Amino acid sequence: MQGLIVSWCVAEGIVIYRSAKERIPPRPGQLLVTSGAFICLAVLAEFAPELALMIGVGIDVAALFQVWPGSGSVAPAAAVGADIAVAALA
Amino acid sequence: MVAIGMGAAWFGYSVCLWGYCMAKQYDVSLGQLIYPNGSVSWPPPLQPDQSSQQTPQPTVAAQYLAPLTLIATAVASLVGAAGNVLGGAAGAVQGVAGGVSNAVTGSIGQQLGVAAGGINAAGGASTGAGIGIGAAAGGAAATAAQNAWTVTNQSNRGV
Repeated sequence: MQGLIVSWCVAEGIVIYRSAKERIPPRPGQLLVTSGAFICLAVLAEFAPELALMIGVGIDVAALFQVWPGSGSVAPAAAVGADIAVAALA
Repeated sequence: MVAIGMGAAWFGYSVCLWGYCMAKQYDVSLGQLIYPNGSVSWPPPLQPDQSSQQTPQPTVAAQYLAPLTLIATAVASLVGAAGNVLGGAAGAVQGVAGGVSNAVTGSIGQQLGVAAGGINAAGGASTGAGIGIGAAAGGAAATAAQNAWTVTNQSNRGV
């Protein structure tokens, strides 16, 4: 179970890091898929902990390669443009 | 328990972010934040009532006209007070002159009484005239200053 919690923290950390790098807070919609998947894995871990941990690590790898939903660069163009404009004015 | 904790963490973060958006007057709902495929730009737009209703800023002319209006009002008050003083003094002088002329032409006893009456009557009339003139001048100056301020304020508001 602890391995699954660590895997959950890693997946969420990847999503949060990518959003923080673009200077926007991670929206709950981005974290919803990851959180929902790990909630299901936590239920699964009650019966098959190893299988749940393996799936969790797989989700981490998918988030690392930006193939997991919500883990990619999803910053809207307007927000990025606003950041660039603010940085140019500053 | 772990599943409930994960769900509570996500829901708590969602509510906290929504509360932050409400505190910052952002026009975004909790559903828009939670919806996975929602395209919510960041920062979200402000609420319409906050972005449309802005306090009109006074122009440079209005900023300079405001103290001038106060000065004009003060000058009008001084003019009114001066009118009262001058009117009263003029009335007293006229009363004294009338009393003296009557004293020259009439008997002493009667002249004293007539002179006293002349002083009182003329002084009262002149004082009343002075008050009236001073008040009229002060009122006209204050009205002109108020009209100028009203026109400038309306022009600032785009009326």
